Amino acid sequence: MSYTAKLLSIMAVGILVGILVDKNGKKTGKEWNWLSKLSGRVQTFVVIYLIFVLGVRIGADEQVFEQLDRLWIVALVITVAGMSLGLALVHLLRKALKFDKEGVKADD
Amino acid sequence: MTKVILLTVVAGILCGRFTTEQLSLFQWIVEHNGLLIDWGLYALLFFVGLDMGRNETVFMDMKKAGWRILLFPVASIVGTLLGAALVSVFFPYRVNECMAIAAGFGWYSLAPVLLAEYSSVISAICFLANVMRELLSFIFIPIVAKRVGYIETTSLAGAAAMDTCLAVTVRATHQRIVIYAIACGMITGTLVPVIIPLLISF
Repeated sequence: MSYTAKLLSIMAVGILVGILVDKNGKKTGKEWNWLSKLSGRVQTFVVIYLIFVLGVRIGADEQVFEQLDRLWIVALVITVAGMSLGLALVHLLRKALKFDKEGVKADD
Repeated sequence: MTKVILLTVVAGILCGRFTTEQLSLFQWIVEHNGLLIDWGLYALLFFVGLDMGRNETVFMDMKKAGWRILLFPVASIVGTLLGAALVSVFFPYRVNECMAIAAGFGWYSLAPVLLAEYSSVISAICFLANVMRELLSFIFIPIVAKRVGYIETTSLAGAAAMDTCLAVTVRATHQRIVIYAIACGMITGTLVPVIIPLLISF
């Protein structure tokens, strides 16, 4: 199985379990609060763990440090270009679909 | 949370930079980096999915808002990738690498991790770029809401539209934009682990 397919299937299993838990909660009145808490805690922990492991890898790479003064400019230009063009396309789409500036459809 | 993440990445970088030879733990982390990251990602995506699945009302609200609501995140994604592709001519990186950097859509705790095994340099740029996207969103959401339009604000934040940037969006726009923000966050967020591995496979 490809890497993407693996990541997506794991997410899909998560969504499925979430839907089942939600249905069970509605049927039995159980609130499953512990699961929400657990999910929040695991996500916080895993994000910090992943970012730390990533940091160690980046830190151990000499190339990153040799180019650090240039990397942030590349990051900034890519981000600004991406955000601007994304904004422009969404703006054109909003006009084409006839939503007004405040997001209300004209003929609703 | 943003502060904690920035501190963690700095701590990680310092550990990787200065103590790899002295401390075998960090050496071990560098050697087994791929495996450590994979299992972390599996756990993260499972629980992100679980939270999504439990939000039935969100799916219902989206259904009510109709199919048009799905087009806005698509336009935002296409624009972001196109923008990155265009500026790639100025840099010594390949088009697909620049697009992968932008394809984090602001999810800086996931996107650079997906690129870690591919290249530390690209992963570092990706981290910077996506942190910048979130920070710039905080600044520009109120401005775009006032000068351009409410729905457009959701495109700025991308994947962060449904979490960190949601409060800013609601304050700058109207309650009705929340569902657009959530749709944008969900769709772009789900596509991050799809688009990035796909882009770097070329």
